[in-house]
Amino acid sequence: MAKTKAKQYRALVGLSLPVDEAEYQRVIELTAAGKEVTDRKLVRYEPGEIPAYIPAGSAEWLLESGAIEEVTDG
Amino acid sequence: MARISSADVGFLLISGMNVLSDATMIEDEQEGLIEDTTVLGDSYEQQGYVGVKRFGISQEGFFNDAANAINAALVTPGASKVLSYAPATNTLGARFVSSPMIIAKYVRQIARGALTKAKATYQSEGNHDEGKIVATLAARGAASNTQATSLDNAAASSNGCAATLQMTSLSLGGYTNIIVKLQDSADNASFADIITFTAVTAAPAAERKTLTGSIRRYLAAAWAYTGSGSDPTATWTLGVARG
Repeated sequence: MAKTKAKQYRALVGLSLPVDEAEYQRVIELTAAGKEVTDRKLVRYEPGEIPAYIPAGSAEWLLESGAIEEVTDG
Repeated sequence: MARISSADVGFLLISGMNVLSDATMIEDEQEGLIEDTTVLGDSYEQQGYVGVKRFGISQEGFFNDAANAINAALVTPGASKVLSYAPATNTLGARFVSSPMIIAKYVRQIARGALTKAKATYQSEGNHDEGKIVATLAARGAASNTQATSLDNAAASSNGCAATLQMTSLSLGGYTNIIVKLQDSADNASFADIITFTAVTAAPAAERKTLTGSIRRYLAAAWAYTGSGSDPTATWTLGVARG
């Protein structure tokens, strides 16, 4: 079975994103517990760049707000 | 915090000049303009609100002609200034009252046996912002952000915002400028730039910017320096009033 290609997105505004899923989950859990989230592992992306990782939970609202767009082949 | 006092005032900034150490009184006044609508046959005088509000601030304090002190901040009547103050401490989420103002009157008062005083009255150039501190007035170094201490509004809002940056000092350490941004987030994990302030090359400096539309639940500030250099420091605060 062919592997499904992950969706890619292009930043339309400057973004600060967690480096990976583990970091995203750590931040979400601390936030839900009402705790301060220190020592964040973030990657900065400028408009036009294609982030290596965007949390699925963030992609939804980033798309809706026009902060990112889906990259389509061809 | 319910009752507050003069000891709680965190800062008083006039276009990047922190004049709190010379101020003894701040008074802001909101007024709804009314007109006498009494007509023949009325047995009591009538008043009608004409749909226009006015916001003004007056302040009193000690005269100080040091660089970027109260005299420098006030000596140009008619000048447009960005005035911001924190009536209830300089802490994350505390009240941040801000407005673009015109200095209407500046008074220097000299009296026998007393320190010279400086007083001013301002009129707002439009609405004023009853916001919250997103980034406290503090010295900050190399490029970073305040996401660790993001401001949680408990929910998103839909009527835009007004954001005010006040920078009291800046040492670029060879960099060309500093650029401060306001970011928002729906999940406190990923943040998007929503307002980019004009690059600052020298302090004192201040700017108010507005945005329409949705503002997500969490707010943070981010800053970066342009060019190359070493050990930059900037002292600034950022306040945001949601619409």
